[in-house]
Amino acid sequence: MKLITHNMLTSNIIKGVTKGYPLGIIPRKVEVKDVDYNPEFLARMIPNMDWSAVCKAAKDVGHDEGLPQEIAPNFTENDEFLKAAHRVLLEIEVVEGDLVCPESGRKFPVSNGVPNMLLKEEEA
Amino acid sequence: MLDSFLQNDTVHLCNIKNMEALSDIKLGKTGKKLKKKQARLRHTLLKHDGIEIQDRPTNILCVNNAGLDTGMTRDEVFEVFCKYGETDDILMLPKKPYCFVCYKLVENAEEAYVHLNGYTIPATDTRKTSCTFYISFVSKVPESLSPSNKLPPGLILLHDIISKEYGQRLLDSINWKEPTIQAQQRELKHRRVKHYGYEFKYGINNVDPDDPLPEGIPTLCNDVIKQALQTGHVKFTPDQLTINQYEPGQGIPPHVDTPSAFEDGIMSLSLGSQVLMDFRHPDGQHLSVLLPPCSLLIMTGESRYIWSHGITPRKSDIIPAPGGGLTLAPRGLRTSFTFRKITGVKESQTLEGRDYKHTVLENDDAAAKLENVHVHQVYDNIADHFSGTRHSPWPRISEFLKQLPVGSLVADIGCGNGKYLGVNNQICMIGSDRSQNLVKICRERNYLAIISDILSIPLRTESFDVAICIAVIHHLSTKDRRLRALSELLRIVRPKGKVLVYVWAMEQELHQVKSKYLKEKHFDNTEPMLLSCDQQEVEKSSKSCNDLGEMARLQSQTEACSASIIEDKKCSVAGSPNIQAKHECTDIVESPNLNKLTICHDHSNKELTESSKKLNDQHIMVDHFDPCSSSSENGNASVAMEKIVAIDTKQTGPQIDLENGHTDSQSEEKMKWAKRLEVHVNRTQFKQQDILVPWQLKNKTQNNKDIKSEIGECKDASTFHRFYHVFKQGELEALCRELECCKVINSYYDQGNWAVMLEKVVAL
Repeated sequence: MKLITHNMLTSNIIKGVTKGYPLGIIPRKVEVKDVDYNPEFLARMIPNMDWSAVCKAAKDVGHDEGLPQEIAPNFTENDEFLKAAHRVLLEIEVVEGDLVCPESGRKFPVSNGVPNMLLKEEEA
Repeated sequence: MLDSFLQNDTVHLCNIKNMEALSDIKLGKTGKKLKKKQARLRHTLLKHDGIEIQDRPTNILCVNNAGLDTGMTRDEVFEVFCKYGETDDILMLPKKPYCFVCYKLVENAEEAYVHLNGYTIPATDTRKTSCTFYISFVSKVPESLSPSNKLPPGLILLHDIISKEYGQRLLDSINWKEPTIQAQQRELKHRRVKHYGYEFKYGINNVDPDDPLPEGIPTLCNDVIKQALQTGHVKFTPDQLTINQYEPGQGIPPHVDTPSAFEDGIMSLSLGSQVLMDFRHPDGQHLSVLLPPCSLLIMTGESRYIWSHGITPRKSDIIPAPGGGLTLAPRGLRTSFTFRKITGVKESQTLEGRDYKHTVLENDDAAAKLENVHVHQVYDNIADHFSGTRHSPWPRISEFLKQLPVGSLVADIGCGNGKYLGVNNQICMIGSDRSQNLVKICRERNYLAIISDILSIPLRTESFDVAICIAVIHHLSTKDRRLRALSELLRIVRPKGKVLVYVWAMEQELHQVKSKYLKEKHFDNTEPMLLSCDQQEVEKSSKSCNDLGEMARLQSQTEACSASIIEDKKCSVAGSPNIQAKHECTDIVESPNLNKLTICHDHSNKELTESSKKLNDQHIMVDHFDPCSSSSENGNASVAMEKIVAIDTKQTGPQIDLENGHTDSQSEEKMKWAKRLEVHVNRTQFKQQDILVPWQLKNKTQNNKDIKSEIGECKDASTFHRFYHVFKQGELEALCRELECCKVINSYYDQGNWAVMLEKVVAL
C-alpha cells in the first residue's frame, strides 16, 4: 500500500464511524521502491491529497524526515517539493502492517502490500 | 461379443505398410491428404476421447465424417458398411463427427477400410453436403459409451433393492390396457408413460398440485419406498409416481427434472432390462451409469439439479462382461418406476411459463450469502485462471480512460485483475475488488489496489474525479443492493465527477445474427470458437431491435435509452449450443451396494487449495462474451463460453466473515440456489434475469483413472457458478434515476452490455 492509496482510504464505512480519517498505520514491513518521477502528474495530484494525512502517514511509517508540513504555495514549479511528494506518495510502500480506524480502533490488515478493508456483516 | 473381437486384433497382424500401399494405389494423388486427415483424426480421438488408433487392423473402425455431427444417420452408415461383412454394431455418438463400425471379423473391417477410406458419400435431402470418410482402426470404443465406475456427485445406486419376484409383481400390477382416465397414461413418442398421484403435464413441464389424480401411488410400492427412505438419502415420502416403459431402441432425451416441481431426492426403480443412463454435466463431463434390473437410483444434490440424465435410444448397451472386459448386451423391455415428492409450487402464468424461479431473496442476509457463495468465492477460486485468460481492456472503456485529463483520480470498483488500471499512466487509478486473489494480481502488476466491498467502499467521500464499475453490479442479487452500489459509487466522486457503469445485458439477441450462429451444428462445444458476422447483418439487426422487435416487449420502463450503438464490425457469439433439452422429467435409477453408499457433498479445504494450484496449468473457457474479443485481427470474434458446475467451495479467508462462519451449511446453501436459479446454458438467450452462469476451468488432467468406489465423487469438478442479474434494456438507467444525486448523461449498448455514464449533481 503506497501512501497515495492510504490518503484516499477511510474507515467511515464502519457502522457508527463518521469520519474515520485518516487511518493510523502500524507498520511491520515498509519498503521503498524507485518509481519514475513525473512532475506534471504530481502537480495535478497534489490538490487531491489531504496533506496533513500525508504527513501523519509518513510519520507513522518513519519516513517523515524532511517532508514539508504544508503544501508549498508554488508547488507546481517547486521541484524540491514535488520530489519529496513523489517519494512519500509513490515510493514508500507498507507491505505488512495494520491500518487503524481513528474512531473505533478497528484494525484493517495490510498483507503483501494489500489493505483488506472488508467488514464483517455486523460492522457495516 | 465386443470383448471377443477386442482380443482378435492381436491375432490378425497385418503389415501396415501394405495397407498404406494399397490406399496409395487406390487413391493416387489424394493419398497424402488422406494421411494427413488420418493423422489429425488420430490426434483428436486421443485428445478428446482417449481412443488410440491402432497401427494394425482391428475389427472396429472409427469412421470420421460419418458421425451424427456431420448429419449422417446410422442407417446410412449401415448401408455402406454392411457390404463388407456382418456388423455387430454401429455406434453413433451425439455431437461427434465420427462413428464406430464394429465388424464381427477383422477381415471384414480390413475389406471395408480398403474400399471406403477416402470414399465420398453424396449429399442427401436431409444432409446438404457430401461427406468423405476417413477411416482408422481402433481397439475399443470411447469410454463414454461404456459404463463408468464413477457416479455424479449426489447420485446413489442401490443394487438389488428388491427381489425379482417383487419386481415381477410390480410389473404385473400395471394395467397398461385400461387407463381409467386419459391423463394417467400416454404413449409418448419414445416411450409409454403412466402417472399416479399427480400427472406430470409435459406441456408445462410441471405438475398441478391442485389437480391430483384419483389414484395415488399403488400400495404395492410401499415396501420399496420404505426401504429407500430407510437409507436416509431421501427426506421426503414420495407422492407422485411415473412409470415409463421403454422398448429396445427407445430412450429419453437428456433432462433435469423440473427443479421447482419436485423435491430433492428423486428415486427410480429399474425393472426388466438393464440400461445405460447418460449423465451429463454442463461442463461436458459425461458419465454412463449402468442401471441393472431391480436397482434403485437416487438422485440428490448436484446429480439432481445440475447434471442432466437421459437414455440414448439404442438397441444394445455395452456393459462389463462377467469375465472382465466389455460385452454388448441387447436391451429388452425396461420399466422404470420414478418416485418423487412434489413441492406444491405452482407454475405461474408468465409469458414463458418459467419465471417461477424469479429469485425471491427473503432478505439482505440471504442475498449476501448467495453472493458470497456464487460471486466472491468463485472469483477467488478462479482468480488466476480468470486473469490468465483475459483480458485486454474493452475498447470503449479504454478510450474513455485515455481521454481523461492528466492527474485525474479514478477509482475502479470491481477492478478484477486490474486490466484498466494500467491503461493510462497519466492518471491515478486505485482499484478495489472483493476478491483478494484478484487484488493480489493487481499488486503484482504494481497497480494501486485494495480489497473492499462495493457496498462499503472505504474511499473518501467526494474525492475522486471518476469512478468506473465494469461488470460488477450485475453480481448483486437484489435491486436494493444494486441501488446501494450505485449510491456508493456516486458518494466517492466529487460534484460533477463521472461514474461509468457496465452491466451484462439480457438482450444478447440484440444481434439477431447470433441466433443464426447458435443454430450452427458443427461446433465442438468444448472449444472456444471463431465466428464472425458482417457489418450489414449487425446493422440490420440493431435496427430492427430499435424499432420494436424482441426488445420492446422486454422493456418495462417507458423511456427508451439510446441503445443499439454498435460500432464494431463484428460481433462475438457466445459458446456453442450445449443444449440439454430440459424436457420433462422422469426416469432414473441406479445403485451401488447398500453398504457402499454415501454421497459426496463437500470438498475439503485441502482439495480446494490443490485445485486452485492447478489453475495455472489449466486451459480455460472464458466468461460472458467479451467485447474485446471482437477486435481480433482476422475479423473474427473469438468467443469463449463457460460451463457450469456447482462445486462445494469451502473457503478460508476473510470472505467467510459474511457467512458467520457457518461453512457447514454451504453445500446446502448451494443446492438451495441451484433449485431456485436457472443455470444459464451457454450460447442461448437468457431466459430470466437472475441466473447462475457457469465458469469452467477445463482441467486437462481430469481423466482420473483411479476410481475408489461407486460413490459419486467429483474431485475434479472445475466449474463454478457465478450469480448474475442481467439487465433489461432501460433498467440500468431507471435504477440510476432513483438516485437524486446523479444524472444520466449517456447510455448505450456495448457488445452485450448496457452502459451508463453518470454525472454527480451537487446536492442542493
